[in-house]
Amino acid sequence: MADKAREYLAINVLNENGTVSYRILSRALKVHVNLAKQLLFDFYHEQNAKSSNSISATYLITGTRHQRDIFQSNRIIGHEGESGIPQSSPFQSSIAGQDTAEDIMPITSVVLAREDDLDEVKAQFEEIVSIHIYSLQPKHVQDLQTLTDCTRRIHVEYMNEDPSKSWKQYGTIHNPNINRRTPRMAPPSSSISALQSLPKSTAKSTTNSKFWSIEPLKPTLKSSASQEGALKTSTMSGEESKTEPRPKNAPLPSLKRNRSDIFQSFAKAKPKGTKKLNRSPTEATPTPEDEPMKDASEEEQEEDFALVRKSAAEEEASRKVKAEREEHLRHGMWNDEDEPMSDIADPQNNTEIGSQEGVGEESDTGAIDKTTSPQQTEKTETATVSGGRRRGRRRVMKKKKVQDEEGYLVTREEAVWESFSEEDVQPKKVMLPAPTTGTGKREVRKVGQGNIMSFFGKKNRQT
Amino acid sequence: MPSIDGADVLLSGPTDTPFPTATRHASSYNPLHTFHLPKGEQKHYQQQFADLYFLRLAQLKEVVEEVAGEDWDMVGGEKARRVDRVLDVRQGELCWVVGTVYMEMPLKPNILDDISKEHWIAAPPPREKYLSPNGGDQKMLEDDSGRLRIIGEFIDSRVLATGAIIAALGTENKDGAFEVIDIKVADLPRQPERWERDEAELAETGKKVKQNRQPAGKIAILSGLSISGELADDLSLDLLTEYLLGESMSGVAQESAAQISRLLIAGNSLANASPILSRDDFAAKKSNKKYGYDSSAYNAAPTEHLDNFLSVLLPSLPITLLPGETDPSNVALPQPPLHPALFPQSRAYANPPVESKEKPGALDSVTNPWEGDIDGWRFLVNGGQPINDVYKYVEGDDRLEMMECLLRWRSNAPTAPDTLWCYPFQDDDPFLVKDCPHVYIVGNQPRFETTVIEGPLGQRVRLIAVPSFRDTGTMVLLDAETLAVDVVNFEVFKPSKDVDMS
Repeated sequence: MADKAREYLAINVLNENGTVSYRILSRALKVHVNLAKQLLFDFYHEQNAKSSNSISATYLITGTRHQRDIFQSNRIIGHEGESGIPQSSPFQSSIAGQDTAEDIMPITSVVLAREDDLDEVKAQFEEIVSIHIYSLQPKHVQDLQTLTDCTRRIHVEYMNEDPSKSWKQYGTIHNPNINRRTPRMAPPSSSISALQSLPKSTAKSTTNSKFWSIEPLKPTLKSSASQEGALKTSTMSGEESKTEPRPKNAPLPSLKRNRSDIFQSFAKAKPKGTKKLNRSPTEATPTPEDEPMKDASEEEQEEDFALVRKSAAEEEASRKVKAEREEHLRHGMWNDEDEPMSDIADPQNNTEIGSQEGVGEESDTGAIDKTTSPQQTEKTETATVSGGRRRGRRRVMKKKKVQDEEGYLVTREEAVWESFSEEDVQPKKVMLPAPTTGTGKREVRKVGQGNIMSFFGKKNRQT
Repeated sequence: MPSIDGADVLLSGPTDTPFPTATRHASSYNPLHTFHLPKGEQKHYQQQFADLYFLRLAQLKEVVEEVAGEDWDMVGGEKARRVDRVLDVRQGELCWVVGTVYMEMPLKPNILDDISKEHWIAAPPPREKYLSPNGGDQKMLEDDSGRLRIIGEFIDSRVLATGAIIAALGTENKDGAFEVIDIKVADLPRQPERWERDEAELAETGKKVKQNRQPAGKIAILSGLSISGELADDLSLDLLTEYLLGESMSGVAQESAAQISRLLIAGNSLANASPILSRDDFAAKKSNKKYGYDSSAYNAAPTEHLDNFLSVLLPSLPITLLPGETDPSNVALPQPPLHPALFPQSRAYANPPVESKEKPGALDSVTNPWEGDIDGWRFLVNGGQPINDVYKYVEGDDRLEMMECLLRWRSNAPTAPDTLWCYPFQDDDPFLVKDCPHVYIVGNQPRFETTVIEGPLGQRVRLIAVPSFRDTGTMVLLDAETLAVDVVNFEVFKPSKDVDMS
């Protein structure tokens, strides 16, 4: 044990110039905190015997202290048995005067001190109940506040440990009367694996969504980040079709907490109502829509509500992602336009491009195109073709004139998500195949066109 | 500096002796739900506050008359007449009357002034005291009939604040003012026996009433943690955490930490979560508002830190958490409990809100003020707002005297709704003290103070003023058997050369 401690301390204190408190040492070596304090003492004397003053220590002293040393500016009163309303009170300023005559109560004091101040602190004590080394750090570290990093590290790195079991190992005071509520369903081992099967994730989201499951914040961010890529590359059609046939017992969308991705919140909230309205009964065939269920909303349920235990490495990743995200948000959402929302072909944009380049597109499709969005200057669109229907949402740039503080008129382009239904675009889709089926040449063109479209679509976004 | 044996046992190399792990004392805990506001639809803010004054006077008048009637039947050989309404007082006649104290103070905030001055003057800075230096203050006694100015040296020597119900004995002079020679207040109500409520509940359920109870441990009381999310304010909080967990220190000291059976946090756990901006700040803030989500507008760090702090303690120590002035709860008293959604980690130890009235979990987020039974004793706790408000009405800074007065007036918040925001209750005034507590704790006071007061029926109440932990590093330990008080002070030592030695 002593060897392991020596190694750990040598790496962390001597090599990396870090601060090691007894608590983090006990967590790292999985030993009792009192043993960790002794190991610190051992190492401290060994090192300073080798080369004096190579490391410094802080001490924690507990005991009874001379009271005037504690409350130099605070008055303490401990009079007992006073009864009856005092008749009057002399005027005092709100800043309490120095009044130590009445100090008759024993006051326990817990003081953290650097080794240089140890003698001075000790002299202030009437009786010392306990003294031990609190932490070791390189000589030059003067700011004791760096010690708080140790606590933070413990919290981050060892948060997965079950406190109902680890108390014995570390010597925390045990309380047999405290129960931690467990979620009603066993937590998934990994959020990603849970995603892969529909019934599992659905069931879990319903049971866990009672507000009351327990999960740390960080895994949430983490998992959403790790899935972000998947979300983006997976076609929107997948996402779209699956939000629709929500199981009856699934939670309402309003229950969801979309704190992870501002885009998801934008993307999801709007279209739901319109889509349902536009759905004619004949179209409502329960087709493949229901199947693969990499449901975006379900994913979020998972992320938000599952109890996910993460390894330290994942934690690290999550913090990075969190920082990135914050940076992102700070930039403002307008800059986010570059972000590819989906990789699917963007028929509207593409047909426009097609006609511009004179590929010989039918004039009627162009006309339809124009009628759909007369006022929009630019659009990005996500659409779903499933079960022979198209629906989705697109982001359109709208010009907005605002008068700013100095009285200038500022025209700003703002991205607005709006949903559209098959009525708007369906004709185009229907019309397109009709002429093309005629000749082989056209057949080829059509296939090729799709590819070109996606190419331009991408390029467009990059610029 | 003498040390006790074994104090420096950890200042040695590692030994083979195994270290014992302590087991924490059990906490018997039975909260009351006196200050829960009506839920949802039933909660209205349209009512007038006048009902609150009426209710208070109606409920306390009888009590005060009884107290006064006994003592003032004959005063100095003269028969003192009881007068029903304050306007029935006749000049030159010795009489006594019951009413609500109203303090007319020019420096007190006045809503009518605020409205009339709204457009042309900046709001005056909040005052430390409402007392006018040149004596513009007037004291009045009012009931549903009208107001009567009360004067006299006796009145000036007593602590009085708006909302207190008193009986005043005296005569009306030729100026129409009532010269007071004595006053009576309701004094402490009946005090329940220790374990009274728990035993009554046991009797109801048909269990054995007299149980062999474990000796109770200690209750740690904190207030004003003022967690701000800045790194620099964490170290003494760490020391506190480790003390409560029994990880720091050694031997005897660790064992004494195991006696702490419950932690009571009396308000202001967060530094300033919901500041009410002044008009200028508000305007300034609005102008740079961003469209959409502004990540700089919300800082989650303070609540995250508080959640960490609580969740580290909770596996070992049950916690009762009251909101305070700076916490994200309502500003009006009674403040509803801090919502568990603020504590994603700690709430695993709390009951879901729907079940909150059943047996509480380890984390009990409660109202401010709050009353309940801990280890059989009745506790009455608030986050400090009522006392800090009464402080503005009176001379001096004797917090214990103010606390005592509030109990003897039987009012948790006499100055509400005048200068202290509160919910407009209609049918009942929950701020009336119906049962005399054994322990009365007020958080966020300038310094630690404690005393014991006695009532006419032999009631003994332990008063504790708890200072802000952030400012003083002080935690109060209350022995739940003897109601004796200890203080633990946490400090990161700063060498004297850094400190001004004046």
